[in-house]
Amino acid sequence: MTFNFNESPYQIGGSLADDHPTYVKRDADDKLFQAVLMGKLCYISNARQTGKSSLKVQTISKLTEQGLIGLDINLQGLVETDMSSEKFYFTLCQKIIDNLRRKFNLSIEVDLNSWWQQQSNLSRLYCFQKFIQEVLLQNNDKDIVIFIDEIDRLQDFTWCDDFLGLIRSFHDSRSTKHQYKRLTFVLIGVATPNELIQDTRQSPFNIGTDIELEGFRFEEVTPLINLLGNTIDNPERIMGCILYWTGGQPFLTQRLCQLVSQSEPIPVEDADKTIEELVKREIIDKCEHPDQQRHFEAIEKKIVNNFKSNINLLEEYKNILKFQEIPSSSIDNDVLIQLRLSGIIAKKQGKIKVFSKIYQEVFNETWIESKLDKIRPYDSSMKAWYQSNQKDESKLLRGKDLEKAIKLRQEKTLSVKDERYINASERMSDQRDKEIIVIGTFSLIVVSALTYMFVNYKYASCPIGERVIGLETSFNLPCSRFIISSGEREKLFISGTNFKLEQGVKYFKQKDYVKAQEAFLEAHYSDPTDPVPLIYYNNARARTGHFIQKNPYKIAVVIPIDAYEDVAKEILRGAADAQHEFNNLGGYKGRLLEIIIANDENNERLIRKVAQDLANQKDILGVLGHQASESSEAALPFYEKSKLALVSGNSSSSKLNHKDFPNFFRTISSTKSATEIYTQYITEYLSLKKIAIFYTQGSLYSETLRDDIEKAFQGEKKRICMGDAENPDSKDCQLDIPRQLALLRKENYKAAFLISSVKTNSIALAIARYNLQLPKELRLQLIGALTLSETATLEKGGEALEGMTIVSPCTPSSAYMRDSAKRWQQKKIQWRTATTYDAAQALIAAIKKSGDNPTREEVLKNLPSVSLSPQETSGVAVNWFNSEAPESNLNRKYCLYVIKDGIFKEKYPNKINTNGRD
Amino acid sequence: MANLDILRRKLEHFERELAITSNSESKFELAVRIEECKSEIEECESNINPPSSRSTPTSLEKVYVKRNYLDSYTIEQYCHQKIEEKGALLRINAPQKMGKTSLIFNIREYCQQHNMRAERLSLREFDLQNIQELESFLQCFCQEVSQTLNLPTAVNDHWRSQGIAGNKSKCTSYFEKHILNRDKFPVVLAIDDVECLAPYPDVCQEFFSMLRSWHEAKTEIIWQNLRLIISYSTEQFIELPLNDSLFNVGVNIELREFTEEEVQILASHYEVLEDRVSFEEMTDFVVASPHLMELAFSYFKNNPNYTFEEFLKFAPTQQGVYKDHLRRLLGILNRLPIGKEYKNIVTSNVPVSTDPVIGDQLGRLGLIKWEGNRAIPSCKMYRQYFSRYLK
Repeated sequence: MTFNFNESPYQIGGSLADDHPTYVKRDADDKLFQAVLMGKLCYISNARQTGKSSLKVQTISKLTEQGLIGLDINLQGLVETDMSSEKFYFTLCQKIIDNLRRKFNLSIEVDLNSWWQQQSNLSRLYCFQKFIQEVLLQNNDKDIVIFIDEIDRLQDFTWCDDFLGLIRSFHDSRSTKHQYKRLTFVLIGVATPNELIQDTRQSPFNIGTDIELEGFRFEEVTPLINLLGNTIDNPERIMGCILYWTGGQPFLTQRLCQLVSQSEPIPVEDADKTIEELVKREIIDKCEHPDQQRHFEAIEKKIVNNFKSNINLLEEYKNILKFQEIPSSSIDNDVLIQLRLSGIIAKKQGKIKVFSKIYQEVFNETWIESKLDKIRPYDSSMKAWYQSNQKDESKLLRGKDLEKAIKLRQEKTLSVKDERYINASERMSDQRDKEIIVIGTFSLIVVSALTYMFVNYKYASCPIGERVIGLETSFNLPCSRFIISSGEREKLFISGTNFKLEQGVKYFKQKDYVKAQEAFLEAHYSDPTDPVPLIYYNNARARTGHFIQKNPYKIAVVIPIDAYEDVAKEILRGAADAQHEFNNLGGYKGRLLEIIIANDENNERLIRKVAQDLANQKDILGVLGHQASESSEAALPFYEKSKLALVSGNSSSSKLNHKDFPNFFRTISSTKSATEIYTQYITEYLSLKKIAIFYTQGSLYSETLRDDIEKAFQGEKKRICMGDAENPDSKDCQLDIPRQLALLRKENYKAAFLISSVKTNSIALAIARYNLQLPKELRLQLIGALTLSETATLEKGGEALEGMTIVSPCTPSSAYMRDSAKRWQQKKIQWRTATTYDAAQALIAAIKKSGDNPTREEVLKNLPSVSLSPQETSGVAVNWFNSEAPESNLNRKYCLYVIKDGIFKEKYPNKINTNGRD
Repeated sequence: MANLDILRRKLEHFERELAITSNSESKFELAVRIEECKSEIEECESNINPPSSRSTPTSLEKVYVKRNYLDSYTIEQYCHQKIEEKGALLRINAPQKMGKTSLIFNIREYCQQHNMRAERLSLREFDLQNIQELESFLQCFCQEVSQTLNLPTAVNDHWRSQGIAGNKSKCTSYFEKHILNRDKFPVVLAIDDVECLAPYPDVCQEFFSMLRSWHEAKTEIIWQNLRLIISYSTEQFIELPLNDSLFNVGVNIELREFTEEEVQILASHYEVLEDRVSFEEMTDFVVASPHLMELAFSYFKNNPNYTFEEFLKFAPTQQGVYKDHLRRLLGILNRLPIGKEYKNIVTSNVPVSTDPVIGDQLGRLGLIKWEGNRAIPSCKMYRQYFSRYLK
């Protein structure tokens, strides 16, 4: 019995066999093959059904012809829910042995079960490494390429980072270990590099070759044309029409070829129309047909099920659909990656467009709107509002709807349109509330109304439940929060909300550290600029006890969270970097590092309370911080009493010296070193004989620097008090800025040195503003202190600070600076991050020196002898006790910077000479 | 009686789940399974049939009507040709009682005649406790496969010998060593009632991803010898993570209702002829699934005086030929919110616009047909019966 269903040779779905007649060779084929032959780590991350696995099958077959061994590991049949790392590595080894035996006839003379048991004292990761090194690579002398397909299956496993890190390290070791030159990996899946791995320093994707798969081009599809040719007159013409509709998308192209080969012969003159009808009838109208439903479903799900950014993805896609083609630079990179991995768009020569005309029809405007309507609870009212040209206020959200929308905004990355709409609704609702208050106030008698407003004002910036009353020192913020947290406090930084962070805190409090870890890691991913999630993540990790002991080494970091958010973040980033690195390497002696975050707000009363508290927690081995010199000064007596070391990357006052404060260390040099540069600048490059010095009374830092300068500068100096940190009403310090500036001008001063303290930065800004209002030729050249080198102040200062010079610690570029910038997604890493990283590294080194069970006494004892090379720090060596300033690290030099266009530009003194005076 | 215990345990389990779950999809699946379980228990208790043969269409083996597929070739011929291909994968899906199992038996017979080892394995017969965990399920699966194929079993030894390897990997190597390696004959394995895995998404996902990896391995000779048939009821749709999906490879076989001619052929096997029954009216009145047609014609055959008018009159009642079938559907509808929506549909004279999710579930039960995006009852009998009995 023979019959034939007019079977077509085209295959839709599934990978093509290596000798399949319809395989289409693309540029990526050669690129991958060459890269693998050169031993490069490759990855193919692309949408579903774009020919990834078929390319794998082809490449393995070609490699085999060349005498190489290509091992095909499909994680789909290997990885299981909740798989332990041990099970995974063991199964992986088994698969490798099996693969060698069955496909290459190479048997490995090792009983894996007993071999594995012999290694029971090793970590599982190392066990696998040993297997590769001592079993696989010893077995034969051929080059081995391991293809790992469906790599995204690893995504949810805690050991995924480790595994990918190991693959990277195999490649990194190629230069040193000869035998690793024979080993190459190819990773294949539907995940972005960043989705798979959190730690950019470990990521194999930093060094790999990205193989991008593009749609079939006409020149490439000869095999498909030849097969059409059996039944059709002008197959080239038909193929042109097919590609017009499919954009060369492999699945769609195979499918349409199949449909064409099964249909009646197509007359050449009607080709366009016939194919169009065929596409509409058999694909677009039947997108739910089982042969193609899954294909479209997969694309839809990848976009719609992306909970965090589905609205944004749909809005961006709408834009692309509308304009047909947009430059790739006009779209956020994350959005681009997500859309590309869904398969819906193609990127070619810097332009983005919808991958195929069929997608344009299936995922059309109606489709987008129906999805948005479902996801966005306020879809119709928002559209109505935009239709009214953003004027119809009745279409804005209020009450419960507004609350819902605000919650949505916290959880998702919304489109600009959404943000604008919700913001407008919020403003509207605020206004309404205010009106209500005003009406209410009038109904009260005047006195109580005023009291009411005053009370409200006083606590206005306090978040709910955070009212701290009784900190009556005058420069206090209305609200100072007492915070000491390893992971128990959400909202360390009030601005911004991180849903996962709050969830992690909940788990952390319940002591469910495994779940907390996951949530914190996601929180870190959601907002990579915030250092808190990563610290919390590592704290949870340190307490989990996976393969490690559960009692981590504890250190604390003290920062001004609310008063100087940017500074606090900069400091925390450095600490977080050191901790993350330490924990990633498995800690020391089986123990990881926990960092306790404490808030001192640079507020004396809070400092004392926090320092006392940290001193009392006996398992804390050392403290990083504080920011301001006066803060360190206030805290040090408590630390000294309890033998706790303080390592600061920030407090530079030369009065904080080893003699008076034996517990104090810093990774920068003191105000004395800074003074040298300041004086050099003033005398040699500005050629000035006299200088006005604005200082802050009662600030250790400001007074020290003032004294140091006065001592070093030989010319005439005028001392002006800009404020009193302790007593704002002090008679000596009532500064009338315009009068003072006029006076200085009269006395022929050309430059002013503004030594503000952390509390008087605002006064320095005011001086700068008044200075700016003067005619250009009357303005003073302003010189700033380290305290002004802070992002928020720079932003506030704006134009007034342009041209001001500041001396601050140099930050030579280094591997650390690059990696850290990448991790925190910063353009440039600030010096405080680098110096705090050094401080943390120094503390860690001291802990390591302190034996099996380090105590704070031993850490303190060992700190002076710590010596770190530039490779172990952010790029500048750290050592102490080699000079007249034993507590300072003189390796960290100061550099002269000038503020230009709102940022610091490094200025070498010899260049200032020519254009400095202006 | 052991079977009865298992069934009761299952029923209890499902009812508990239904009470606590809030997801409409899970609720739907559970309601369907509860009614199935109930009818199995009834059958079991009345001792007419042991439950394991519930789905075995004994009578249909005698009366088997082949359905047209393409150009006068039948669906059976198409399946026969496809199963001969190396590493074949057939997916058969249709609502219940549409003849899936019969088709499997038909293919099995063909394969056995053509030098293949072919057997059917129903997941419905697995004990509930073996199905909830991946390890026990895969062990049980290997065991059952060996047994149905009459091969020696070595599951426990094999599992032990593989040390701490993953379960999917153990199952895969079991097939390589103990199932596919026996002789050069291809092994055709028809896995029926796959929807039974739906309540256990973890097991389900891992099982399918393993099957997919087998399918991907068909470049190797040993795996070319495995031919898989996966059969599942569309009433319980299996929602799977797509990246592991088995459902975009292989051949999809969708079984549809009988056409009027096919009904006529079936009827002729029961000696029911056109003078007694109007086939046109019949297919309009009842959904022409093999099972429902067969029930009617065997009744006509056994009761020679029964008239078509009587059939039309009693069918949509609690006493008619279809009373069990209708009661099962009624049970499901009464448990779920879709019941209310269906009441609207059967009582309306015009097509009713229906929420896609609800419509999808009703469609999977075979209760509605679509006219654009509006729904109508799929047959007259349903309209009459449910407008009367549905709460």
